[in-house]
Amino acid sequence: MSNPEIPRAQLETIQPILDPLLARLRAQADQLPPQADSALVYLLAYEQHEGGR
Amino acid sequence: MTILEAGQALRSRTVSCLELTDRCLDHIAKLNPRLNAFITVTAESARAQAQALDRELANGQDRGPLHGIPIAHKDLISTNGVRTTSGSKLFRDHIPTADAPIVERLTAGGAVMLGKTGLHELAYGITSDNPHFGTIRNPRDPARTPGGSSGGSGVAVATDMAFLATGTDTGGSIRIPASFCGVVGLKPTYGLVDRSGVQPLGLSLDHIGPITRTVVDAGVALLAMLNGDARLRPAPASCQYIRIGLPENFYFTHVSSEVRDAVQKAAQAAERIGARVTPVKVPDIDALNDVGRVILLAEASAVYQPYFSRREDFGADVLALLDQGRLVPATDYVNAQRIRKILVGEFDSLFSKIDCLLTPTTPTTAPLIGQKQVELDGEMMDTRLATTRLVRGINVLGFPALSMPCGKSAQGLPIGVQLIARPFEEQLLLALGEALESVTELRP
Repeated sequence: MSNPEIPRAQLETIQPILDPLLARLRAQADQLPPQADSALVYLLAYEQHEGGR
Repeated sequence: MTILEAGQALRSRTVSCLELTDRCLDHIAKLNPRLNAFITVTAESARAQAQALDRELANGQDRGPLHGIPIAHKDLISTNGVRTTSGSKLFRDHIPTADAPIVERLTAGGAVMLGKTGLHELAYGITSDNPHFGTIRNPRDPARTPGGSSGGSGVAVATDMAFLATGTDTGGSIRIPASFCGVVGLKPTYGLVDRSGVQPLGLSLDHIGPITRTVVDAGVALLAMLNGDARLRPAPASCQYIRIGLPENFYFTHVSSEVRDAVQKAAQAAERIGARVTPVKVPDIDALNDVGRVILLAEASAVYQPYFSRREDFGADVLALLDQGRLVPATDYVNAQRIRKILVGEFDSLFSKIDCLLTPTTPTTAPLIGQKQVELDGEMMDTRLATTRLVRGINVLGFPALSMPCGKSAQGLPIGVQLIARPFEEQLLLALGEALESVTELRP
């Protein structure tokens, strides 16, 4: 799959948007208990087993 | 005319499937050049389909409530032999060789396909201002956005071009156009409606659902769309048994005063029809929205990685989002999914005390096309982030949510109220929505 570099001008535009978002997420992640599971496991189980399906 | 009324007219032989279809095609011919709701109109096959369905009714064969009802599909849902562009230059000439299961189900239920509705490029945005297929315009004021990404579907239903249109919702893309166009949009529980054959965006956030003129019609459409083995929880016997939580934090801040007043009136109307409305404190929606944004950025970029070398084929806004997604580390994506699970648990706890949340759908009425910022509570906010802030988190939860009209602004623009329930409680949302719909002051 192609994965060309992101042009510098685009990086300068998007990083000020993305960086604060990731910083806030990481602050939340710092509070996660070590055994916290992923919602993807939850979603998988949810589709297969809940709601009488 | 609603689906219910059209069905009655068809069965009393006061109208035929072909006449209903021709009426919609006339509306499309008249309005689409100005509003750009449809990318493709399949007039000839729609008329042939309607004639065949008329013959079936004449012979006593009735497929059910969608028999002979003209509908439209969002143009990222695969339709056999009919171009499906996803609103993208990448798929401009893509002609699927099979129908998506949702199309199969609606066709088997007797729906007549009028064509494919326009959308924000790749469903990755909320304006439906599409650089490849043109700007979709709000019928209440063509200088304004209809919302998105299912903008064409919202416009088609609001203007009688179709009785029902399918939509997809990854961060509000059914509910936002429903709110801005004054129609009903239902985002069902995650996984309830089959997503195969539908162009993905956020793999763990994508939902498929109906846009209709009334809540009753949304219920009819949902039942026709459901996976064969799906089981919804039964509706409550009466609205008196519904406990509505009215958020005292987040949902009524950074919201225009007109929207706040209209939604508060909807809450008062819910009380008058017997529901119990109590103030509740909701979990951290800002955190939920951040989680949703990180997950969507990463998942969408994973989907479109094969096309990254074709940068010139993307619109600037979509390319900026796809580039952001490429910069999200896997650790952040995984941690977002871990935080997501904890937040779902917090909402499960909240919903042990209530049956439904009542909130605004969007903090404003439809912004102007091209408007980059909106002012809310004296603060300038990015239009995309402001418009998605009340709806995006519900995709992260996977809970069902219904947007329905609850009045209009001084400028005559529709205002939407959002009802949110626990998974598989669509019948509760529809029962409450139907009861609210009967309250005259809430009509757009």
